[in-house]
Amino acid sequence: MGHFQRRPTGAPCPQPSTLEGTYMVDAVHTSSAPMIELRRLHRFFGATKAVHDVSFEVYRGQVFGYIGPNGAGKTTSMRILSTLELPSYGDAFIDGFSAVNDPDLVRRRLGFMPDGFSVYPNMNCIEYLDFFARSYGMMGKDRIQAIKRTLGFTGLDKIAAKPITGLSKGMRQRLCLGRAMIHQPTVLVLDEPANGLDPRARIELRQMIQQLAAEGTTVLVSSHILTELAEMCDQVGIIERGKLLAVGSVEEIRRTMRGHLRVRVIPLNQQAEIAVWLSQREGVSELAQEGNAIHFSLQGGEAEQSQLLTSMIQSGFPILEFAAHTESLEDVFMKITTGAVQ
Amino acid sequence: MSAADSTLGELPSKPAASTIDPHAQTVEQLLDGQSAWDKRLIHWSNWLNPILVKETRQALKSKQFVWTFGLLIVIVLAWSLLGLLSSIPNIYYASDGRGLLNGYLLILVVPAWLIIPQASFRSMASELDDGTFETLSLSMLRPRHIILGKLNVAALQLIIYMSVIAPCIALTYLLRGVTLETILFELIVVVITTLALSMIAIAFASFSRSRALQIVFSLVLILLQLITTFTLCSLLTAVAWQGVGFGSFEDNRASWIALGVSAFFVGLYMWVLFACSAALIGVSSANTSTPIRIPLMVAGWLIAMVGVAMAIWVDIEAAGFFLMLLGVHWAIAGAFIVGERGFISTRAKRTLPDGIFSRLFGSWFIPGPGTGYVFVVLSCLGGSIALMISPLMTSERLWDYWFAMVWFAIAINLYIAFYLGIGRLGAWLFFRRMKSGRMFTTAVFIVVLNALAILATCTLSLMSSNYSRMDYEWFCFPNPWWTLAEIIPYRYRNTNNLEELAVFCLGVVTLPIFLLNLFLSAKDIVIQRIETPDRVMAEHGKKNRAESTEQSEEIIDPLA
Repeated sequence: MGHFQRRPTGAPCPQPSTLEGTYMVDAVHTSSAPMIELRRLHRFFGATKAVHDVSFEVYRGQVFGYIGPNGAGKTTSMRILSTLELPSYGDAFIDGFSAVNDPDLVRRRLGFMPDGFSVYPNMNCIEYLDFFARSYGMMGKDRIQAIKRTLGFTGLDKIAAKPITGLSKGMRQRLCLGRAMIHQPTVLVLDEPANGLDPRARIELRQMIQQLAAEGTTVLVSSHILTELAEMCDQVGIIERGKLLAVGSVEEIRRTMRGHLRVRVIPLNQQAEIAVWLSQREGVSELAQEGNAIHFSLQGGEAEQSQLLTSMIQSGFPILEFAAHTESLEDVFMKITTGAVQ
Repeated sequence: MSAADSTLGELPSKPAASTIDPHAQTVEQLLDGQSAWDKRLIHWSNWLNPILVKETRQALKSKQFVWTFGLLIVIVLAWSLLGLLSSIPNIYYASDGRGLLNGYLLILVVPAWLIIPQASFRSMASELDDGTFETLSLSMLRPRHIILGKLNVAALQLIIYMSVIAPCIALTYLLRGVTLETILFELIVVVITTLALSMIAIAFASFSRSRALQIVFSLVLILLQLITTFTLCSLLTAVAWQGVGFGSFEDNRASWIALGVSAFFVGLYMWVLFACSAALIGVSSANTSTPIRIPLMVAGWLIAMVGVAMAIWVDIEAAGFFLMLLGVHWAIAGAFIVGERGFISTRAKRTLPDGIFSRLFGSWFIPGPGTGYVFVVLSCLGGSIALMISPLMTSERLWDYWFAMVWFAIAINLYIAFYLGIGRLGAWLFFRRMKSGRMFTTAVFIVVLNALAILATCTLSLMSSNYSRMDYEWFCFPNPWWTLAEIIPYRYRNTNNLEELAVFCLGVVTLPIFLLNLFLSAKDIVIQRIETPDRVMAEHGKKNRAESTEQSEEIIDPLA
């Protein structure tokens, strides 16, 4: 499993593998231009502000996690980005092309996997992919190669002749992903792709997304499973009641939102002395003692932590453990959102 | 590395089929075909509409198709046996083909006119219902490809069903009593009606975006199918028994002209419906108005041209009938057009006419109720003038008829300008904020207005005669049906002063409405074209270049 390495944010990505045929997007705008851009996006349904002034950018090869409670506006903004809906105000861009004004050019570059998967009756996997390959204008050998590649990538080659109606949820999701990537898009928009999948299928899906990103595809993915997103996303955007509350890498958001760190110190002895010493330090507050451990809040970031630890050791205190509590994406999400619905 | 990893490893740069794997072989076979015939068919299918390929594959596996096809064979065989057995004593000399042919055609119309249009409706409606339409619209298929694909499927089904009865129809010809012309006539009627009903079904499915509308349109479609089937079955029976022939063209002139004109108009309105359906399922920011106005204008002009031709070569009174048809055409089209939203997207602004001549002639195609109103009024006027002149081009030179035609044409045009003008003003005043269903609401508003005018004029007429009788008076001019019925032109007819006064009054009230609408239409016309970004132009250019390279490669390849 070790070959899926996370890229640092903004790191250059490899060029996508090229395919024969003219249906392919053979070049991207410029390497520095965002592949996905939402610019002051608004969408109103009557009095409901489904999306309210949402702006963010995603660069090539990045995986962007779109997080928010139900009804937050994730699907609406994804549908606008995928040219399925029009915004009330603002615009969304794929590789510099407007989803409102140039939907045909956007669609050539985009693969969209919706939340629900609708199937055609009396069709098998290969016929389904063949139909969409034809719909993207692929002909002859190009089409056959694209189907073979997709079947291989999604692991559906062994059940290619199986009717779609008989597929499990996980297999259907794979087929849906295959459908979205049959024309090798440069941008993939995945709406809750892991919804209802078992742990194994979820891991496999995550690996597929990571591999696509490693090959240069920009991925916008929404999910309720935050641990999944934390592992695969370069950036996340947290949205609630149509408003984008935070955007950036998980670490960036964490750093921005917290004014202080919660630190736990376990000394060998001298708990009382250490507590007094800490209470006299600048930036230390909310001091509490639980057994051997001393908990406190420290103003600042990693530099302040390091400075404090150095001072404690220099003061001669016997420190067994010094740990700052690292907040997970779930913690960040819970802190940022209020759980309010509209 | 786990098994999963090996599956999900790097994308293979070469097809995985090169590895010896029984499943990969299956994929290979499924994609390329097993026999040479399969390979050839798959190769040819590259040029077919993807929807046709998909739905054919689905149909071949569906129980509905298998059952219909099987039942058709059984019924056709049963009818053949019954027909042949019943005519056995006289089979060598009696003309028994007519009865058999009639039976075969009545059997064919059941799948052709009842099942195929319903299948088309369900196919389109289920795309919209199940959400598959969204994934389909994200592909490179344009709305017109989707509609055309569905129509192709209907045509293919018809061909398959017709192939079942084709040998039987050949048998009826051998049995005597049936001419080739009769068979041709009957089959043309079946084909045109099937395609027309299927187009209507697809259009209905495109209109019905909600479950309630779907039920309503489904019922309307069933009603339409039943009416068409019962009406045209009697036509088919009559033609089968009486027969039509090219040899006796003079005797059957009316039948052939009626068939030709009907086929022509069915084709024309199928095109209009096609444009409307494609516009309805298209991208919301696209200019959907101009692609509908073009077939409407062509249809309007062709009505006028056919009317002129009929007046000159068939009957002078055809001019009046086609003028009425033209009025109905523009009244129905205009009722919807004046309800358009005035908003033009940036995407649509890129397609606006630019330059003096294109602005001069193309401005009325710019989306918007104002331009739409002027477009309808001018188009109707143009067609009316052509039809008005036609009586003068005949050898008869019936001046009375011509004068009656002029009054009739003026009245029709004034009614169009009057009612659509009020409709456009009503939409502007009352439905301005309405985002969906505005066109339909405006059309209903005009119909209601018309109904109120009819009611008011009838009541006034009754009141003026002290409730004793209902006579046409000059104040009945807001009632279009009554006024037009009074002044309808026919041979050796003169208009009277009362009718001329009514048309004059209509003109007086229409003029300010027309001028006000003309003034308001300036808002739609002043919108300027905006330039398409260079990058978008370059992208389209790149695509075109790629297509031309592909074509040239296809030409060069065989030589190589």
